[in-house]
Amino acid sequence: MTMTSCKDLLRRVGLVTLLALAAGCTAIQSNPLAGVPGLGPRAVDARTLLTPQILAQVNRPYLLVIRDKTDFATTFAFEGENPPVRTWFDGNRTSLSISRLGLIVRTAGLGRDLMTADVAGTEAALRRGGEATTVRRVHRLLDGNDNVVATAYACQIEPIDPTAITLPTGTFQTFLIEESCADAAGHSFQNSYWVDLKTGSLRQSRQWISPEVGTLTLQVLHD
Amino acid sequence: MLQSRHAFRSRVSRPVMRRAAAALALLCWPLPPTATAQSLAELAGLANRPTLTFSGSPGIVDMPSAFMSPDGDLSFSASYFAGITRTSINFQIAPRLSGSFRYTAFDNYFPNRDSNGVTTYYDRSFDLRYQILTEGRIRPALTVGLIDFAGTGRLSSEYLVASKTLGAGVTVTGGLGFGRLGTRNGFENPLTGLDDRFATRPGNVAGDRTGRANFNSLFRGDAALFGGVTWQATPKLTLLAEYSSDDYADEVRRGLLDDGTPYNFGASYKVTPTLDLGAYALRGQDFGVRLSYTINPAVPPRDNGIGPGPAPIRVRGAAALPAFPQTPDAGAALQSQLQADLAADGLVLEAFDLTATAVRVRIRNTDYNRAAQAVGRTARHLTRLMPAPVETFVIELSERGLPTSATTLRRSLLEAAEFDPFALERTYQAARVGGPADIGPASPFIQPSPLGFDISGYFNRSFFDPRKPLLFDAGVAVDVAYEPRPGIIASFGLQQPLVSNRDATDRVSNSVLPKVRSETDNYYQSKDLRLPYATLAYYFRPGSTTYGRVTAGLLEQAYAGASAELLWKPDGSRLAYGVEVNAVRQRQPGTLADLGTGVYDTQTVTGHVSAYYDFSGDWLAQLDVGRYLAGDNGATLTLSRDFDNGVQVGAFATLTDTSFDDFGEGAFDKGIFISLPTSYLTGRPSRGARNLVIRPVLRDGGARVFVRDRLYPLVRDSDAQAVNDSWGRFLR
Repeated sequence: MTMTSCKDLLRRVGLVTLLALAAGCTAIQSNPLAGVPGLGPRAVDARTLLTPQILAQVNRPYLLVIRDKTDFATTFAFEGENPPVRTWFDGNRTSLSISRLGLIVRTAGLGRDLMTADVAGTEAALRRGGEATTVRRVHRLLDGNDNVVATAYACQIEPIDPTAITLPTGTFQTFLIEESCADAAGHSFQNSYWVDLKTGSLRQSRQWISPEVGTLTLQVLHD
Repeated sequence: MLQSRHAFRSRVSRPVMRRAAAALALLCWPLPPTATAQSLAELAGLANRPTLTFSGSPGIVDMPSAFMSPDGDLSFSASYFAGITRTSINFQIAPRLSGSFRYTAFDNYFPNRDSNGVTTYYDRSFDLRYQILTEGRIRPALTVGLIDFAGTGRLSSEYLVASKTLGAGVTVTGGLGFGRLGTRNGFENPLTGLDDRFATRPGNVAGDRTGRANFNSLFRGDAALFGGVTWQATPKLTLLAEYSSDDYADEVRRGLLDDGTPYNFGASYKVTPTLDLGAYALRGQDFGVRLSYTINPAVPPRDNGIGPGPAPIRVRGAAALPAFPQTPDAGAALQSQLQADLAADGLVLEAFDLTATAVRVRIRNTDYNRAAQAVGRTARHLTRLMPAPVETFVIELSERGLPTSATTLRRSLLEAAEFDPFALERTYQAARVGGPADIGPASPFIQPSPLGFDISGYFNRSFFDPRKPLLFDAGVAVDVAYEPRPGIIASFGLQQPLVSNRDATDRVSNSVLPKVRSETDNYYQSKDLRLPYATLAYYFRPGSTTYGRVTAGLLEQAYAGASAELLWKPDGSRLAYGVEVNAVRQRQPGTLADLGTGVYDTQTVTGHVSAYYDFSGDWLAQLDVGRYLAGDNGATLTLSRDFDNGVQVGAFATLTDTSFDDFGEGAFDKGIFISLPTSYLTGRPSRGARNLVIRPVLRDGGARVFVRDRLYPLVRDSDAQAVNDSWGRFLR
């Protein structure tokens, strides 16, 4: 990213101090887009920054992630891979580890993070095209004293409909699959997956993390 | 998966863990139905918090109930009615035991005492409550309580109370009170049948009885009945009504209150999960309010775990890695790259030793209050930089240059297990955690950035001066440390007071002992720049289970001299021993400029033998036996609830051969302390903590020198036990 576009970006964000300029530019140069919202909690929502000019300049994989509880979006860039899981960072170095298909298996820096997840059943069901079935999913979280608390869910996978979704980078033909999970005590959540008909992986998804973090909406803007 | 929930707390040996692994995997399928995804607040049972009384402990308006707060709950309350202000701290010490400390101010209690202008009477009191029976489906909860059993006794009362939760959010409570709680419509003590002595309650003994338990008046004198009803009308609002057995006779006699009815009504409103407001109509004539702030150690007030995530593990084969350095220059370049990467995560590299297949690093952890998190982050950086043939990582943690633990990890396991659903269990079982093989100073050591510099605000306070309940001075503090090599530290601090009310008291020590602490106010009254400490310290490890420290210089605001300490803490043992000897002279109160004439002539030698015991279930006990500053001999017992996340609430008491009369107000030195880690409060990594020590006015008996960086807390934060116990954070 050039210096000009960086300044342009910063002007849009309304950052006037030299300090912010320096911080913003450094971050952006090393990590396109991901750096912009990383200027702190008061930084702007990434969705307001994704102009066509900006989007056209980024040619590496990145995600737009919206935290539903706060309705705040940041962009994540790809940082490392331990196949088949890729780890993505935003400008705050919050990280998401996501399977190749698109399921979150770990978060870091969101608060009460997902430590590990057993999503093999869900993944298999999605790969089979979302035929109606019941799978088992396990989330491991830490309690307030850092002991592991594991919770198993019975999850109903249900194919919904072919759906065209429009993201800032275009319109994609997807197939919507829903997963309704409940644990033994009746705590429940619902995940949604928009499987890209071309690539077979998730173009968009809504995935629940923990009671405190809530649900994240992920959009794959660029593969 | 209850097994894994407790895995990191268990002290079973690793071979046993490994054998258990297979069984564990079987047990995990399917999960027992008890495992539920609960929020931290639900896990801690915060929805069942009982309403708090005027006095800050569970109850109705002014009367106690038999309910207990969720385990670990810590409440700070302030309440006011008719000129009586109560400030209290209530701590749920254990699921069935709670304690309260309260400071009550009675306005106009001494209307004619003009000599020093203080007409308010301040009273400290301490309560304990024990739940004899927990609530059952039909059985009510039953609790016995002692109020103000160790103070002036002005509020002293005892009670036995039963409470039951009915349907629709209603609870009913009925109890039998003694002492103050037996003053309205009192009747002959039912225990008189056992012994006639129960019929009368000894009055307050003349003279200063502060700090002494009034065991001979417990449950004596007239008894009376009290009771009440609460109704949780909405999730946030609870309505309260009670019949009180406290007639406030003393206050009425003094004209502070008028006679009133026994009926109190009120409402308690949860503004937020932590903040709770109460409004009350009391005795048919007064209006009262209460504000409570309640936290639970298991539920951080903010999201816990905010901040940069850890660097991803780099898998050999999938990513390019540096080649094995063939020249010293290449080795140095690799080392400085590692140093830079670690520094970004708040980790300081003290030693780096690379062989063909193994690497050993010594790490100073400046950011993470859980040891395993520092180990895990270091391991991740090693996977990103170490040449591919390097398979074994040995990660030592160090404190003040002392290696305290060594964790040995296999790189291929880290690569394979990173995203395994059982990643935490697998890494825990495979890691070897123990004492460091090489206990000497890091050799060759990496030059730490030798000059450390910190500017912060400071707030010195002392409580309960009879003239002014809070004396304080606050301002700017500068701390400078110079560390030419790990373990040798020269440091000093400066404090510039900006705000102070230290001159609000003119109290002169009336102590009959050498005035070793009772004139402590003198050290804080000047508003000039002062030098609270300036020391040279050396930390060393004489043996594989021992740690040593020598500190010399201006040890603290009031003492200068030398201090030496040895700690024996075997790996895997709950018991540790320490010995400390201090040869000190008292510093003269004064400022930085007065250093030349700084100390008094008399030298005192104090010393202690200490035993530390780390109970399971978050308890820590410390017993120090030895000689104190005034030449008195005795022992200090410190007992604290230590939560895994670093939250600490405890109490200490010192008894020496100084008589209670010679000691003066309070009878003996004692206090309570609360330590809240910054990481708990903010959710972000930090090794700092906010500490609050509440103790009566300092006297001269049972006094000790405050030496910075005593060994036990340092070692306990990062030794093998600490790494094992915090393994849940290994992946964070």
